Amino acid sequence: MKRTFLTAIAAILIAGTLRADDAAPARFLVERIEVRNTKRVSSTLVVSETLLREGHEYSEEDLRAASLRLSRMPFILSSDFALEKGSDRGRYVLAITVQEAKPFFYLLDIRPTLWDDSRRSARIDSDIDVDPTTESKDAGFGFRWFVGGRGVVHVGYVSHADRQSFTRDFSGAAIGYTQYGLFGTAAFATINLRLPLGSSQTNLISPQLVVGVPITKTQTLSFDVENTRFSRSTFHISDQDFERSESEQLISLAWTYNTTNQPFVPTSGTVLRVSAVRSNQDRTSFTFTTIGFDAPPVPLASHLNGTGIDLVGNHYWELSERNSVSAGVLTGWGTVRERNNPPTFRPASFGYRPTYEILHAGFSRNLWRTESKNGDSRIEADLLYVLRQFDVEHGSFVSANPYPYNQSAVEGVISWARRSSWGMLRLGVGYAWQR
Amino acid sequence: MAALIRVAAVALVLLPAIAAAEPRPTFIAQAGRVVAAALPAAVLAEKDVERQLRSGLTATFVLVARQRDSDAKGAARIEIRFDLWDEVWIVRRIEFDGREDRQRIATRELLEKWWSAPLRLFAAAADRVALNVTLTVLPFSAAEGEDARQWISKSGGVAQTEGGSPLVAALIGTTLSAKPIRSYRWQTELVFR
Repeated sequence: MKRTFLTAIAAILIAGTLRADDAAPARFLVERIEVRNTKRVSSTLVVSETLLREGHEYSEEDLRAASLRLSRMPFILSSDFALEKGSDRGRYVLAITVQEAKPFFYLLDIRPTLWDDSRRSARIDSDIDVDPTTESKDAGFGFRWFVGGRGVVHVGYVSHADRQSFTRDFSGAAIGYTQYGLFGTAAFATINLRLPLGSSQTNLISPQLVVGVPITKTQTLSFDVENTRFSRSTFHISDQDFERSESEQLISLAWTYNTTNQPFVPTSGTVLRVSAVRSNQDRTSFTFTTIGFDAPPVPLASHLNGTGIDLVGNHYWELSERNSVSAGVLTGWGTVRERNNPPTFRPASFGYRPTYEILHAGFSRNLWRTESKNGDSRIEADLLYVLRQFDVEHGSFVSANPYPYNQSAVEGVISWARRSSWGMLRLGVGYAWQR
Repeated sequence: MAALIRVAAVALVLLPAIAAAEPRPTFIAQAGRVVAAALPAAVLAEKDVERQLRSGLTATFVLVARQRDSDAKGAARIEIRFDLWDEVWIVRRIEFDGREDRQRIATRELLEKWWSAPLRLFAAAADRVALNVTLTVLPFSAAEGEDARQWISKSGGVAQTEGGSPLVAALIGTTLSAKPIRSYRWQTELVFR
């Protein structure tokens, strides 16, 4: 009894004291980083992606930023950070317990849009319109294997789509390798060999190189070079051989600031992205210079140079543990020069400036009442205003689309988003009307 | 069929017990029409909360009280970190009016006592008040979220002075990017005499 009383007195005395350094944000000297619960993902890779290094001192803000970085990795579903005592007083072991994604992955975004042109006769778009605010460049499915300490091999089916109208969108099979932690830094590089859909008969392998360099915990520079060959064949007509080919060389450089809490269904944080893209497209074929096909065909060559800038700004606010709202602006400008020889159906020289602006606001609600380590299931409602303009600089031709044009549309989208250890699925439907 | 009926009967008997097991604070009407909450120690014993408390990193508890028939709200925040080397709890609480208390607590027993002391979170305008109260448990410290602090200060009229509002200081935990570990919702009605 007496001992309990003395302990209580001592405890009360200690309780009343406060060190001066308690008011300052705590910093922890991390002597070792241990990654736990990994089955396929390399621990070295996880540590590398935190941007934390053993032997350095970190604040809780640094650890929180590292936790967010891991949450944005496509192959990690969630991570828990904890400190343990290190080898000596003031030293700590940082234990990171992760929930991995499965080796099979998918990223499917299926949200067809019901277009209501007249407000009376609605039609369903035959294509699957992906929400123009999403970054669908890596949409697809496949398998990935972790090799070595910092490598990932992937094979699958991917799609390439962006918001600029002059670049080519396509889908295809791909096999690739990503090396993380390049040269002892947090940089990574991915090499892809892709086979665009429809080009399989000609076995056109198209290479792609992506290099990413994190410059801070929240900012990344990425460089993308692609050489895509869509078709190449020889066509025999009127005793002549014509080469038919289509290809695109694309270079883009992007700066991204990302503080969101996860890659596919963020509920808090900011994404800012500025990217510049350059596309060179070549097409060879044949054409007839007179109507009626009484003259022999002649070779046709077309070349397109397009340069564009894209800006993305999205912010997500977590209203509660279940509800979040978002708002954003996406805009882009392009300058395109097109040359055709001979100028049969399109002018010899055609210059135009496509632009787009998208304003959007969204709401999402977690369908699960309690926080889960196994992903998310959310209902999303988005409202978008999309404006597309096309200004002609020089040249003109007869086309189904009148040039220049100025089209705007309002679109409402309801969808269900499910992220699990298997991948990301978004199913929904949009209703759009042109203004 | 009989087995199914037995299971349903057992469930019916257990349901009130399960509901009763959900931790609930005691809400106290204090002088000056101030509402305080005495938080139950059972919250600290919840599995996920306990794991965060033992992680050596801060667990942040944000309490927000919203009056049911008006826009009035108040908030308070508690931060708890277990110092692994000193084996003491470093705690901090900020009440709705900005009153702050920092301490080093030596034992879990004293921590629970400190935790359960009334936490002032709302000032009522009338003698009767009905409140919806949420408690959100977040990983990591909220103290360093300067971005969030600035954002709240600029938005929605929640705060007018730069970083100076007690409500901003208390609410800041809710804008952290970290996902909540656990959350609770309660309702209460109080009469001031």
